[in-house]
Parts: sequence; structure tokens; C-alpha cells
Amino acid sequence: MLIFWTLTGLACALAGLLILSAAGAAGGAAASGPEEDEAARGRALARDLEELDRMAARGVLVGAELEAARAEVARRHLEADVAVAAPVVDTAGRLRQARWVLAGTGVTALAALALYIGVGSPGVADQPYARRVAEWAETPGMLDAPKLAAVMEREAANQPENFEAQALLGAARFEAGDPIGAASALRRAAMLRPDDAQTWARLGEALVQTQEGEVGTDAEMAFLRALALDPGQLGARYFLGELALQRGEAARVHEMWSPLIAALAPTDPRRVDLESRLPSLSGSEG
Amino acid sequence: MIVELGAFALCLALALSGLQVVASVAGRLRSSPVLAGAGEGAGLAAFLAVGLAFGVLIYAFVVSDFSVSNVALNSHTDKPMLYKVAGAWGSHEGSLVLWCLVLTGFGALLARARTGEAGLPFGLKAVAVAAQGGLGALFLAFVLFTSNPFVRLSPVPVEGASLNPLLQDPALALHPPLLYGGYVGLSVCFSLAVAALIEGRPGAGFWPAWGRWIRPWALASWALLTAGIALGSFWAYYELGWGGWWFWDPVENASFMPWLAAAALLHSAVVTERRGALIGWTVFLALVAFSLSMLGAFLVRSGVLTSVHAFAVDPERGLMLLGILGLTAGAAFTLFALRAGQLTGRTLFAPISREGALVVNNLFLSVAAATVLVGTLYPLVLEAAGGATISVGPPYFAVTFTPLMAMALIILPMGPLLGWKRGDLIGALQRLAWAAGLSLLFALIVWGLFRPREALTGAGLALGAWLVLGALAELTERIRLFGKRTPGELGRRTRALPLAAWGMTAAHAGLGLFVLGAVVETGLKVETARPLEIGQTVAAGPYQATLRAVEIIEGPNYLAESATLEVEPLGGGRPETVRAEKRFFPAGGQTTTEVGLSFHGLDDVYLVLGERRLSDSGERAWTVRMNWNPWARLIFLGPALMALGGLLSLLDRRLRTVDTTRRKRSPA
Amino acid sequence: MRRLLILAMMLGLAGPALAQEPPATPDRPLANAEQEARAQALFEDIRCVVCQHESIADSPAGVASDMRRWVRDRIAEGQTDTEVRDGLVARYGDYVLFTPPVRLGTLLLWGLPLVLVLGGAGVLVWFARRRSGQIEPDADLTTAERTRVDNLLKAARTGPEDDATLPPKTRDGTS
Repeated sequence: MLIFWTLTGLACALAGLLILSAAGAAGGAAASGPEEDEAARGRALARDLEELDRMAARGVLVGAELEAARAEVARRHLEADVAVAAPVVDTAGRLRQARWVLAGTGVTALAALALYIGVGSPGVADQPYARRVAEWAETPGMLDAPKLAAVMEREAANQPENFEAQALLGAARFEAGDPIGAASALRRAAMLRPDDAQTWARLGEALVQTQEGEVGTDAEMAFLRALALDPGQLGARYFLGELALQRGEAARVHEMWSPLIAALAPTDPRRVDLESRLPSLSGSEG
Repeated sequence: MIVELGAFALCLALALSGLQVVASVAGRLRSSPVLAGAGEGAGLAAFLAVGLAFGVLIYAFVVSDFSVSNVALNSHTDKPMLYKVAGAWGSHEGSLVLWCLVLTGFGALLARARTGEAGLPFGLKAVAVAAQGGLGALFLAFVLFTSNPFVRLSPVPVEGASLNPLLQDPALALHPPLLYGGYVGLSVCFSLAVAALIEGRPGAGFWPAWGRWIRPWALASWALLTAGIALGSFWAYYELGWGGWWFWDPVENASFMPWLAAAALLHSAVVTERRGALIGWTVFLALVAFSLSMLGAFLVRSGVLTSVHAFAVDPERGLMLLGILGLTAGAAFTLFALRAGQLTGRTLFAPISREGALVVNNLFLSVAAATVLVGTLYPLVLEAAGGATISVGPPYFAVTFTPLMAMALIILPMGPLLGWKRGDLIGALQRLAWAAGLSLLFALIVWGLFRPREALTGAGLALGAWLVLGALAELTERIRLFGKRTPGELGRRTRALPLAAWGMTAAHAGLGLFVLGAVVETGLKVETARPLEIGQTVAAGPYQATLRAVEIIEGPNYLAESATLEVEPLGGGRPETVRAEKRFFPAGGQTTTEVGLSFHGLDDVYLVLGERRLSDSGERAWTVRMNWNPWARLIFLGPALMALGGLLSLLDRRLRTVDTTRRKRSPA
Repeated sequence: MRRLLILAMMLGLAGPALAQEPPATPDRPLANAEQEARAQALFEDIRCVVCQHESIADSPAGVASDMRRWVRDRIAEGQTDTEVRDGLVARYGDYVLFTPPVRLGTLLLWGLPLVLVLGGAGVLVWFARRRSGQIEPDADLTTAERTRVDNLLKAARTGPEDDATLPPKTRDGTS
């Protein structure tokens, strides 16, 4: 907080310095009288006439054209009623005005402060993302899913070849409601360790989520891989059974769901649900 | 803490702008160079303060500080760095900070402008600096009180909402700074016009000098606007994937109106500078140009374009912008009305003269600007008045705007060949005869080769060629290419040409190239769309494209379906590989198209990957849209040449007013 | 629904299930080339009613696709362009056409450009007529003016010391 107010003070001081030096330079530079005004106009005229001379020398302007241009330029300068130079001020006047400038600068700084108190949020600290993630990483047990995913994302980025990191990132993103990100991480994990049934099953689930519940070809492939590696992957069995149910393959549904039903407690509502949906094996009903 | 420093810097900038007004006015009233100097210093300090605030905002985007509401709403940690940075001006709040940065930046340049004999008179400069400070204060207040980018959030969200993926594009990252440079550069012309209305003298010397003072600002703004609009148009061309590059969308019109006004201002300021004529008109245009800039900001930023009702739902920002517009433009035009009687120049000129041509050019340019204004505002006004809702689109502008511009372009090449005061039209036409003949010949040849669908295409071709050749004719006249000249003399004459002359030639020729590109692209383009399986071919114009592969790729923050296509001329030739993509951004749930562009000379082959479906034979197929856009390159090269022309003129020594080596004089 | 399909597409899930529900009905150009050209020309003038400022020729929206099909059907039925436009206006209002209607309420919209350009030209002609005959070439400087010019130039030479901004004297003899 102290550093902040020091910096704001510094900013005001710098602005004041700029204003005072500009005022001082302008006051010092503006020291010309009427005769100088006259001289200045004369010099401007001389310069314009020289420009015409140069054009004449190059042959761009000739004869009557040149004479007409000269007359026009001369007339323009004669009629010039431009207050060319700044008015003169004596030293005492300059000092008095400098005091006004100083006062104005002070008022400006106060106005800025008042405005800031009105619209700003004094004392609120910065929260750069990297630092927040580092803080979250200190207390991994207390994080909700999105924060955990953020922490894991950093870990996974640091160790792109680490299977655990990718798999955990996938799980965390899945929990955080980001199935696309989860699928991306789980796919990388599956590349790193293609023989891990759990990862394939989770990848399949993430892919199902991205399709809002539909079991697509990619998800089906993932579930099949999982089951081939480990027939005990119950989640994979569930989804493959659903798919078979949709396709009307009754025998396949039984093949998938029977071990699943067996694994569930008899009172589990999920077991009841599955049993009620099991198609009869005669194949006439879907 | 850094973020809060940015918020404080913005407050300080507002206070400094206030001081800028007070000190400059006091300096003028008390004839005090000390006070006026303090006003200039305050302007410079205000610019630095806004710069600090803008830097802090960029920092907040770079480190993804989601405790800043603006960052949380417009950024995401997975965005590539370029778009994190560009996100700082991609949002409403950030873009207004950029507006203020440019506004105070031009104010600081004005404060550094030379005074004294070769520069601005003391009183005029003090009033102009005060006016510029007033504009800065109004817009900074608008930012702080309605669109503060440093509003903090609590609790801090874990992740940001990301920037609209359409805006995540290099061209669009650069587009706003260029466009705002142009919009806001016109503020200096506005301030100088207000100052001249207050300080102006009837003497003949004042107004020509004033014409010279505003020209660099008008030129810089016009060149920046040209570049900004062309870049935005190019973005629409390849990012939206519709094949078009100008839609007469109100947002486009909002930037086009100030461009037209700035173009008119540039030309009328020349007459004021060289001949002391058209004084009232030039002042009027200087006020109009920036008023149209502010109107554009109001239209784009208030939400009024989406619908009058959307505006009514959250009117605070819109009403305050309208208030700023009403206050500044109202005050300026009232002042203009009061002083208009004293603004007549005494210089006379014949209708057939350089001045006459420039006046006619101004007539067409300003009526064209008025047409765009009416076409843009009419549906809004009609709806607000309870009338029916109507749409004003390309067909309306085709029958109103296009003929006006065509008239302006026909007379354009004659202007520079006419003398000041009283011109020799027959002589000018004689010197342009070869250009006219060649243009017609060119149009006939192209017509014969390509057989366009509409007769107007032929007229457009001749017009474009007439502009390019006319610009060259004027150049050859200046260096007297034709006639008995030794090579040494020719070289000397070429070197002796002022940069401004080169600039004018480049700008006029660039306009001609643009017309050629626009006419040929519109009149001859061919579009085909059909579903392609891998290995199948689509053809448009003299080119064909074969779909080679489609794969899914993972970008930094998007997933894309990426098609590889091979483009080759129908007659055979080296095939070129092009990628067209459809990108999906999970963070915002939006898709964008990445057009595959294949350049062949001046032609573009434009490929858009569409939806996937199963073809009749049961194979996977993708709808591919292929456009052959002949000479489309000229549509963007032309404006680039125009902007370059503006830059060349700007570098001309005679227009330099900003003092880079401030004189040191010993106090008397 | 749309989002789901995009996701499906993006993840490379080419389910046959998707093929049964195509994202937007594919455009089927009319068999008659002349009719199709008329339809294409009409598309440019018809606004997609759910978009910001897009013609149905450009818009990828489903509504635009439906509107294109509607227009093609009408043309195939043998309606003229005017009948198609009138039909659209009857369904959606004037808003649907990019060409605003010509009627009392839009008189200003259509008339203003012409009025301005004619009015402006009229003013210019009036000015030119009033002033013609007054234009003479710049007269040479009078003696009095010449004296004042010489005085100014003298003041320049004798006045307070010059500053650095003046270009070096490069007079080359001609005067």
C-alpha cells in the first residue's frame, strides 16, 4: 500500500515537473517585441521569395507566371495580420504566473486523487493467473474442480511426458465440466501409456460428454480398447451396452451388462434400472 | 497494485486534461506564455498518463489478471500471447482507452507544434490546445464513469470468458489502432478549426496559413483511415469467408463517412492554402470530419446499430456519447454559424480552374458522405420515430453513391492539369487525350477477353484506367517527359519534384487501381459450391481445386477441421497447396472459418471449407466453396498505395509543423 | 443442437447418426441455369432475418438456408422476381429487402442525394455567374506595396538575430 501511494505521488510529481518545465520553457522563449514581429514576417517573406527563386532556377516557374506568383506571395505577407510571436511578460509577471501554475498542478493532483477514490478500488491487490495457480497448488486438498484443473494444467505443461500428470489433468477437467479439454489430455495420456485400460475408459466417457450423451465412433473405439485391456472396466461396459441397446443388439447388451449387474449391490437403484431395461433375448423387442 | 496504478493514471489523465483546458484558456486570456506553456505541458503529461494506464491494461491481459472485470470478460488463459495483448483493445472499454490514448497523443503532438513565425500563432495554438484538452477530458470522463476498464471483481473467476474468436486475427489486432489513429487525428483539425473561428483574422494572410497548418493533420488522419479501412475490409474478406469485401454494413459506413469527409477536407484545404478561398467551407469540413468520427464511435459503441431497442435497454453509454457529440459538435457549429459571415475569402477564380475542379470534387465527395450518412441513419431514425423497419443495403448505395463517385472520378485527372485561377480546359484535355484513348482501348481489350456480364463493368474498367493513366499523365507533365529533353535534365526534374507531388500521383493512381480491382472482381468473379469427397475436384473460372485430405488438428486454443486442397490452372500448370480450416473455439463455443487463399498474379482463388455430410454414394464429403476473384489483389493494393501517397505528402518538408528540434533562444 | 453438431464434427466423430440429421439442408441449385442465376441475384438483395447485416447469399444461418429454398421454390413455380420480393415483404415486412421501398416515408432517403447534388451545383453556378467577369490576373505590385515589401525585407535583415530554423541561404543569383 505504501509503495502504491509512493508511486502515485511519483506520477503526480513527474506530471508536475513536465508542466512546470514546459511553462518555464514557453515563458523563456517568448521574448519578442513588435519589431521582432516585423522582422519575423520579413524573414518569412524572404523565405517564400527564395522558394520561388529556386523554382524559377529549376525552370518550373517562368515569365509572367513567376511575376504573378511573386506578387501574390508578397501581398499575402503584407496583409498577414497573424499574431506571430507570443506576448512579452516581465520576470515578475512570470514568477507570479509560475505560482499559479504550481497551484494548478497541486489542485490537479488532488482532483486525480479524489476521482480515484471515487471510481478506483484502493488497496485491492493484483491477481496474476500464474500466482493464483501457485497459491492453489499449496493446498490441493481444498480446491474445487476448476481450480484443481488449473493446477494440474500447469503440472501437465511442465511435464508433457508424464502420464500421471496428463491423466490427472484429464480427470480434473472432466470434473470441472470441460469434457473437450479432458478428452484432449486423456488422449495424450493414452498415447503415453497405451496399455492403461482406465485411461481409455475415461477418454471414452469424456468423448460421450462432448456429444451430450451420445456414444460416437471415437468413444466406442476407446471403450472397446479399455475392455480389451481389462474386462472389468464397468463404465465401458455400461456405455457399450447402451450403444448395443440403441442398435437393437440384445445379445450384446446382455454380454455387456450382465457382469455390471452382478457387480452392483441388489438394492442399488442403478441395478434396478439396468435390469428393467435389459431386452429379452428373443430379439423381437428393442 | 499495478492494476490500481493504471486506474489512478486514468484519473490523473482526466484531471490533467482539465488543467490543460484551464491553463490554456487562462494563458490566452491573460496573454501569458507561461500559463499557455503549462497547458501544453499538461497535455503532454495527460498523454503519458493515458499511456501508463493503457500499458497497465495490456499487462493485466498478458498476466491474465481475472480480478479485472474487463480481462475476465475478454480474455482466457489459453489465448495466444498476440491476442492477449490485442484483447486489451478488443473490448468496448479497452478500445475507448485506445481512443483516449490516440486523442491525447495527437494533443501532445499539437502541444509540441512549432509556434512563432513558421508555425502557429500564440493565441491560435493556446485555444487549439484548450479545445483538444476539452475533447480529451470529455472522452476520459466517459471512460471513467461509464466504461472503466479497471473495475475489479470479487470473487475472482477461475477462468476468463475469452475474446470473440473472429477478432483473434493479426489483421484485426492491428485494425483498431490504425482506424482510431485516423478517426482521432481529425480531432486536431477540429480543434484548429474551433481555434481559428475564435482567433481568425480577416487579413488575407491568416487563412492560407491556417490551411497549411491543418493539412498535415488531415493528411495523416486520411492516410491512417485509408490503411485501417483497407485492413478491416481485407479481414472481412478472408475471415468471414463470404467472398465479399464491402457490405455497406453500418459499422463499415461509420468509418467510411469520416474518410470521405477527410478526403474532401484535404482537397479544400489545398485551395484555402494556395488561394485563400473556400475558407468557410474548409472550416466547416474540418468540423464535420471529426463530428462524423464521433458519430461513428457512437453508432458502433452504443449498440444502437443492433437495434434501437437494444440501445433503449442500456442507454447510459449511448446517451453519454450522444451528449458528448451534441455538446462538442453543437458548440462548434454554433460558433461557425456566428462567424460564417467573416469567412469569405476575397480571392476569385473562374469555374474552369484548379480551384473549380477541386470545388466540384468537394461537391461530389461531400454529397457522397451525406448519402452514406442518410443511408446509415435513416433506418434508425425511421424505427425510432415509430415507423416501419427498413433495411438499407448495397442496392441503395449502388444507385446513389456509385454514380456520385463516378462523376467525381471522371473529372479527377483534369484537376491537376488545370491552372490556378483560370484554367485551360481544352489544353488539359489535349494533354490527357492519350490517357483517355488508352483507357478506352484497355477497356475494350479486357471486355473482349473476358466478356463480363454487365455493360457497366466496361465503363468501370475505362474509369479505373483513366484514373491510373491520368495520374501518370500529370506526372509526365510535371517533369515534361515529352519534348526535347536530355536525360540529365529529366533526372533533375524528377528529383526536383516535391514529395507532395509524388504523394498525389500515388494516391490518385492507387484509387484507380482500387477501382479496377473492385470493378473486375465484382463483374467477373465466379463462385461454385459443391460437396467434395477426398480426391474430387471443383472448378471456378480458369482454376480447379482438388480436395486432398481433411484432418482434425488442435491449435493453441481451438480445434480445427483442416482441409488440404490443391489449386491448379485448368490449362495445366504447377499445382499449389492451400489449407482451408473451420475452427472451433471451446472457450466461447464459436466456430470461425479460415479461408484458403491462393494467389495467382492479381487473382485470388478463394476456398471455404463448409459443412460435412455424407455424399450420395455414402462417402464422407465436405461442401467446398470456391471463388475465382479476378484482380482482387488490387482492391487492397490500391488503398495501400493511397495510404503510401498520404505518407509521402506528409513527409514533404513544406508541411512540417511539429517541432522536433525545439529552438533554444536566450531570454531577452 | 447446433453446438452439439459442431462438437461432433470437430472431434472427428463421423457417426452415421449425424448423416440422418444434416446441420442445414444443403442448397440444391435449380436445374434451370437461368432460373438459378435469377435466384442468386435475388439472394444478394434479401436480408437474413436473424443476422446483423447479412444477405441470405452470405449467411450460414439455418434461417437463411430456408429462405433460399423458399425463393428457389417460388422461382421454380414460375413467379417473377417482383412477385418473389412481394411475397417476402408480405411475410417479413420491408426489413427483409436491402432495397428500401419508395414511398412517402422514404422520400428523403431516396431524394436527398439528388437534391443535394443539384442544389450544390445550382449554388456553384450562381456563384460563378455572379462573379464572372471580375476575375483578373494578379496585378503587379503597386509602388506603395513595393515599398512595404522592401521595408519588411529590411526589417528581416536588421531585426533580432536569426534562429536555426531558417534554411541556409541558397540564393543562386536569380532574383
